[in-house]
Amino acid sequence: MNTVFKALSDPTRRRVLQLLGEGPLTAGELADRFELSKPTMSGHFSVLREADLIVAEKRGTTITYHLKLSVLEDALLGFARAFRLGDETAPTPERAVEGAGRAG
Amino acid sequence: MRADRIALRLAAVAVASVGAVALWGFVVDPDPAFRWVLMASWLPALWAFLEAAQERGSDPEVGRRIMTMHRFTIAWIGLALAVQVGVKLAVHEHMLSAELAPLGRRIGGLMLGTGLIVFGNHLPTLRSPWSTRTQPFDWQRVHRFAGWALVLGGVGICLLWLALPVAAAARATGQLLALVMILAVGRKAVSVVARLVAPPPARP
Repeated sequence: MNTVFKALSDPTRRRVLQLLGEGPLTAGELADRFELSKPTMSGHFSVLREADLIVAEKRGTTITYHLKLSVLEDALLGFARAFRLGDETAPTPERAVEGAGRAG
Repeated sequence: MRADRIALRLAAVAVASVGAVALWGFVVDPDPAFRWVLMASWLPALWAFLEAAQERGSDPEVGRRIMTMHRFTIAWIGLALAVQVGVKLAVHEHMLSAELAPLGRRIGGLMLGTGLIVFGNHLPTLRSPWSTRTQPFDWQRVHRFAGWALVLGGVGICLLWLALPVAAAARATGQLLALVMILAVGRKAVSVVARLVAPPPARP
């Protein structure tokens, strides 16, 4: 379960899961939707695979990823997205105070 | 022992239990006989259909995992049914106190609800070769929808058997189960019709 929480705590990985929720995508198609390097994306994919949240299907040189979320994991993903876990742009009490200070 | 072996044995025990209870019911109260025949035959028929129709696909591990889940579900549903009807017959035959009848039915109802929760939770992770072949683009969304419907239905059934009188819980369980099945099958039907009306573009 620890690996699942780790996988869901990153906004990029949550976005990958969200995209895969619409249907299977190849590694290239997924990488095209992020402004991140291929090795970084590959690292995210391996964390998701380790948590058993996605499955990789290899055909020739193409790797296609499929979602493999149970309902419980889907609910956890929903919570993580709602509370924007690990998202540095998410509002926190500290940032709200800083923002108020700048405004004042 | 491997999980698939345990599931196989549990499913066999559950089917045998349901058959034994149905036979007992026929001996105790034979009229009408068809209800006991129906009770004894529907679960093994469903199991035989799943075993025969399940294609192993390209990955035997996937097929094995899917069948393990199906066998556990058959075992759980069969045992819930055997407990419910068995307790009812035992009370009828004065082998159990009549006060225990509601308890037996509540246990059976709670087993049915938890079985639905467990199966529904895993349903979206099962990449059945049927679904991937007939609906390569939409099976995931259909399974996710059906999984959520089963889990929420299972939670609802558990709450009904914990909170309501037995007669009301039994009636409401039937209605809730029917609603869940209509939603799950309806979502699948919508997906099939949508695919016929507007086929998805071919993947490269």
